[in-house]
Amino acid sequence: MMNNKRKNRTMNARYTGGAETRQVRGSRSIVPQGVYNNTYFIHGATALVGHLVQVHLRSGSVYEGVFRTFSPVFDVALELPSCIKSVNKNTPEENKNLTNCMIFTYDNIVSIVAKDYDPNYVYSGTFQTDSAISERCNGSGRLDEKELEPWDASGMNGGVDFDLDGQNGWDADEMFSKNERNFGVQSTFDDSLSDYTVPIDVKETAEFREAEAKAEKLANEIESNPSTKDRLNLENGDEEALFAAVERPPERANASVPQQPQPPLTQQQQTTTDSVNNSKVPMPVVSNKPKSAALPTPPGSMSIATTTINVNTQSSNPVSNVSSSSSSVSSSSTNKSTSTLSSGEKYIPPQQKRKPIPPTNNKNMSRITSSPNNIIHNNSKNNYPSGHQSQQQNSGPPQYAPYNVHGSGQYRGNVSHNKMNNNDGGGSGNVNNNPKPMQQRSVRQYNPSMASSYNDQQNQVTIINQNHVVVQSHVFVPQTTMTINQGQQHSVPQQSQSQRMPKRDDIEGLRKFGENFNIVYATPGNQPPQGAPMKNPQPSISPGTQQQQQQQQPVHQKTPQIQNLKVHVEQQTNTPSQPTQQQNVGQPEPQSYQMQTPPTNIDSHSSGNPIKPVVNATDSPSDKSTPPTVAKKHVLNPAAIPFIPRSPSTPTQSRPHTPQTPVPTALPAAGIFAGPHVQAAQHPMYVIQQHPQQPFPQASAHPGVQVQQGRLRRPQIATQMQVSAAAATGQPLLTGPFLHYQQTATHPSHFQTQPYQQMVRYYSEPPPQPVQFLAQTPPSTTPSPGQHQQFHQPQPQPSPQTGAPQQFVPGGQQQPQPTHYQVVPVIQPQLVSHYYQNAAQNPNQAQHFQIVMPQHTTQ
Amino acid sequence: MADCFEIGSTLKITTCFEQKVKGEVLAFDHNTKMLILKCSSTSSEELNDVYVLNLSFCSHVQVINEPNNPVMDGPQKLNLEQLKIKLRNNVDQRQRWVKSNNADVSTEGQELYRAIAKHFKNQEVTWNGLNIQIFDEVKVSPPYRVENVTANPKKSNPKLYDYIKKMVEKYYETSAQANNNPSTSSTSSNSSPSPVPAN
Repeated sequence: MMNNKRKNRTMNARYTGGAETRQVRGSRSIVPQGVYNNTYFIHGATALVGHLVQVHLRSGSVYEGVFRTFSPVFDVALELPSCIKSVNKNTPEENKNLTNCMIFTYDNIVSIVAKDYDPNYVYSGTFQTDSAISERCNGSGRLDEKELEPWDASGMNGGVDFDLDGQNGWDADEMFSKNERNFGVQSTFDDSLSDYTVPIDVKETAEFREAEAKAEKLANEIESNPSTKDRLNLENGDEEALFAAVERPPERANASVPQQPQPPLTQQQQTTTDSVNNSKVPMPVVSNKPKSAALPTPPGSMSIATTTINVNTQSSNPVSNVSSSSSSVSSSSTNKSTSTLSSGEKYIPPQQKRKPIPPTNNKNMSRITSSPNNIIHNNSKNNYPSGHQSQQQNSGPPQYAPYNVHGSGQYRGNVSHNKMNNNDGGGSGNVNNNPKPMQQRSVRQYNPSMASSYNDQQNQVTIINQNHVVVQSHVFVPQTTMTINQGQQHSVPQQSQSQRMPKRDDIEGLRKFGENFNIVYATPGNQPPQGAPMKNPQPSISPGTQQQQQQQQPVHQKTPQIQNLKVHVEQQTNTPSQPTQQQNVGQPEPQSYQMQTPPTNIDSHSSGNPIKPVVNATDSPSDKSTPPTVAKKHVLNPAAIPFIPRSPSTPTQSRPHTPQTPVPTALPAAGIFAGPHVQAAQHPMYVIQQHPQQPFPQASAHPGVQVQQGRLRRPQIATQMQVSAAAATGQPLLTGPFLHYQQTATHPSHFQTQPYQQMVRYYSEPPPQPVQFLAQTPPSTTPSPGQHQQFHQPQPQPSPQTGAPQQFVPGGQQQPQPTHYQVVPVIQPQLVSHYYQNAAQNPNQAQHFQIVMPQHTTQ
Repeated sequence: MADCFEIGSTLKITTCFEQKVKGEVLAFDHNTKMLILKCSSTSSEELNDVYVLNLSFCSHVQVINEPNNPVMDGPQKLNLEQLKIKLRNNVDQRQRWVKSNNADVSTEGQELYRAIAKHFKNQEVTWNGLNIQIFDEVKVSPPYRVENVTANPKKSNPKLYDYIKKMVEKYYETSAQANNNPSTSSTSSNSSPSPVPAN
């Protein structure tokens, strides 16, 4: 025993460290964490720390001491142990030699007894917080807890009136009278509060009047001072509006449209199921009601926008666009990715939905807030990079290029004209309605608004214009859906359906459209340049694709939307399958879908640019989105008109837009997106899609409005994405990185989440992109619109950006300068790829082109 | 964790020393074969006797009850501060007790010493030969009866003197009641610690 004690003494140092100290004994194999891994065991053993315990050893000896700690293998250390029962009968001696601490190895311990242990002590404290107390009560301790029974008010005989609407408390006079009546208490209350204030002694003297007049004068001076008003506003004004993280849609009708786009953005970014649900709702609408659906779709998914646009184009304008784009595509197919500025621009327009969107996406990226757009852009970018780009570029770019060029020229030249043109082409009435500002505001007037925004941003818009076209369609949709959530949902579904990539493209396109509508109509030209840059950005596209994917995911989350999208997609897909675009399984397919559908649309459109307008008109009437759709149509139509000679696709484009616009679900999203749009608006220059949003702000000169528009656009895009994107854009995108995403796209949640991520990534990317943009822009710039748009977009973006929502904020901040650049490149690649794809896909591209054209005209 | 014994189940265990323990499983460690049982205390219903048993040295294990309720989501959080306080207090008390061990003094005297020391700080109560010295003012001489309490005339402190007298008086009262409890040494050791655990 003595020996043991001494050994133990030597060990004390280690053990005194506490349970954590590891006992290392050569004779024993120690499991590093041993009992420490056993939650209940370490809990039960630790609870004994500090308790006086008796340790019964295998030898029969019993030691008593304060339980100090235990090792992983449950060797036990006792403080001040004493042998209370020794086999050796040397107890006294041992006691004399009492050590400070003894360690008993677990294999010598038979039992450890802690007498009279208070189980509650270790849980109690000198001071207990409520949570600590409730923790105990809710913990394991209470087995006798009452079963809770629901309260049943039926047992009460109406004794209690729970009406809270009635008078709350007593009126003071009531109390006074009651006190007086019941208790004879006379209140000394004096209305004049003479105890606290001194009444002015009014005198009829000149001196008094003079003083009174002086006081009045002073009061007037103070009250008329602007600073006073500012302070009053600070105190009583709408702080919420000033500092709210969420931007409310502008009061304008456009605002509603923007809202829709915003929802898409939010959808993409947030990918919230709610938004999805909303979007779903719109989506269904879209499916059911082409117009309404189109409206929702456009807003819902900016990225979707491309897809949606495609869809829309398919349904209405898209076709015309597609046709035009197809022609253009054929011509500039090779150019798509790197296509010269002119070609790039052209391509961009066709691609606008996609490629333009990509630029817009870039912008969007910068805008970030406009997650949908960004997503779209990203998607488009991704698509482009992934090889879809090549396909898209091949087919799409040519188409786009023509459109873009033409569109850019037209758009830029006549932003207002574009609007007008758009109106003429699509819903002439709508277009007319959309003065630049008007257009921005009135999403329906997407084209106009886009144009206006574009005009401001102008050149950026060129690419954007195409995008804008898409966006516009989206925007229209958003208007219908109104709620941001819907827009988001729409966007998500579309994206999901189209596969993320496509969706992104669509979204981008939508964004672009939105931008175009808002500001960017002119931007188409820029967009094309962006598209060229986009090729470079394509690497960055991957992020974009991610975003797109995210967006797509949201779309997926929005099953309803997805369904709609599916419908659209199916159509698109069918058509796509026919086209070679399918090659790009993910992105290409979506594109192909879009293209295909667009062609069909185009046919109808081509025959009937008017048809597109009609569709738009119908859409606009049906929903707020409808106006946007109309505008899109108009845009498309205008573009189509110019393009028409070149290709009938413009009509088709308009149709797709309309379908997208029906997506109304996007519309709700648009509101959400509004914030993002603002950023986007800032970004617009850089990113076409963003531009759409930005354009709105610019056009309206109200960032918020623009933002809203952008949001609307985004929603629209989302919706579109949902519809067409899932099928068309989504798939193409998916082919590359997005394939998975597209699949996931079907899952709204995934998409939503992804979009956000993508958004983020984009942001990071934006800086690089700018350079690309610049490079790209030059090519595209050759088509004056593209460059101009870019430049313009950057400017607008900064202003809107500040307003941009959280999501957008990052993008928005970045977007202003770096982001814009990045965005643009991304967009451009996307756009280019989209355009190419679109070109191949015909309808979408054609639509884009048309859209672009309007934009140019507007500008 | 409790491969063999579900937490909350009731076991009846016989150790190699023929000590029978019946209690609820708090924890079991498979590797060390250590089982923690919570048993009802003989002295108070609110208190428990906790046994940590090494099943390697148990001759018989019988499961009486399976747990009524599934194990709750985890043990309560321990108040480690409380544990530290408890450890410190018990160690202090333990030191007093160790200090009280005077081979030349009867166990009764030692117990009285601990009973008195419990109310004073560490250095305020000491052994002075066979006398219990409190503050150099009061001393209790063998056989440690009330009448053996004397005050230091130089530093008379009536209060302390009376206080100690009452304390001694009370000690014998309680010890008379606890007379039935045999086992001097173990009892004595228990008596000192018991207050601590009870806190």
